[in-house]
Amino acid sequence: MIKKGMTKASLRSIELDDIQLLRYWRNLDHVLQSMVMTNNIERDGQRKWFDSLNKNMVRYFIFSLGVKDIGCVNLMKINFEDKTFEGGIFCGDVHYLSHWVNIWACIKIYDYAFFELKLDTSYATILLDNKAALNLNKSLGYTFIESPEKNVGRFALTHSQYLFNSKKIRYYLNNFAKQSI
Amino acid sequence: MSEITLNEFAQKFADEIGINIETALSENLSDISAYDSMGKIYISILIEELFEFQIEYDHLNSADTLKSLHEICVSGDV
Repeated sequence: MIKKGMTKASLRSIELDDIQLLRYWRNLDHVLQSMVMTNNIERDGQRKWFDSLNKNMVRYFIFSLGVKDIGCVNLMKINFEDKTFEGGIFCGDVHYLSHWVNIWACIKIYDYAFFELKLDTSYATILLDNKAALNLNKSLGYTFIESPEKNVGRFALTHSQYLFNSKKIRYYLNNFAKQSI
Repeated sequence: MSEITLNEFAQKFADEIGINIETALSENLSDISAYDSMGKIYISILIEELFEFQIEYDHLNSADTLKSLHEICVSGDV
């Protein structure tokens, strides 16, 4: 059930204790359906994945509402030379699929990438039938670049496009959801 | 009391999230794919513009149909 009322959203870097929760979410049907890579992840594979993470190139965070963990946002393929990155999100708890906390987590991580890491451009690879991701990315200001394979689209978002397009979202998060961003 | 009718609200709701008015009026809100996280943010702001109050997420989420959402907005009892 969705927790009612104004609860504070938060974001934390993933730790070793979190990786089996991530694996559980990642293997759920509603998450797999939105992924370009749909392989099932085994317990041992998840530990190897965590140990091999290059923190210069990837950052994974769990977002929560109060004490309830909801999903994961990440920055991948961070390139400080080209000042580019890829952003990703999945909502692990199916009850929160259409909740504002997903958007809050995106804004937090994009702010982190654009303002703190001082990156300039984000790229995203999305299944073209993933309407929720397409809708979110369009709202953030992503524009279509190419379709590298059937049913897959590549999109780009610049810092200035993001700033312009996220105004309405920020207004909602500050004034309706009463969250700091 | 607001004077915005259900049909007027439905048209603006549909325009805001890019669906047709028939879908907005006939389907349960949970079955409208465009009424997702982003859709709910846009509709919350639309409701503020039209009805001059800020609807809480819990109230927005409690409405099963556009008609019930309109009733919540018209009553302003949130």
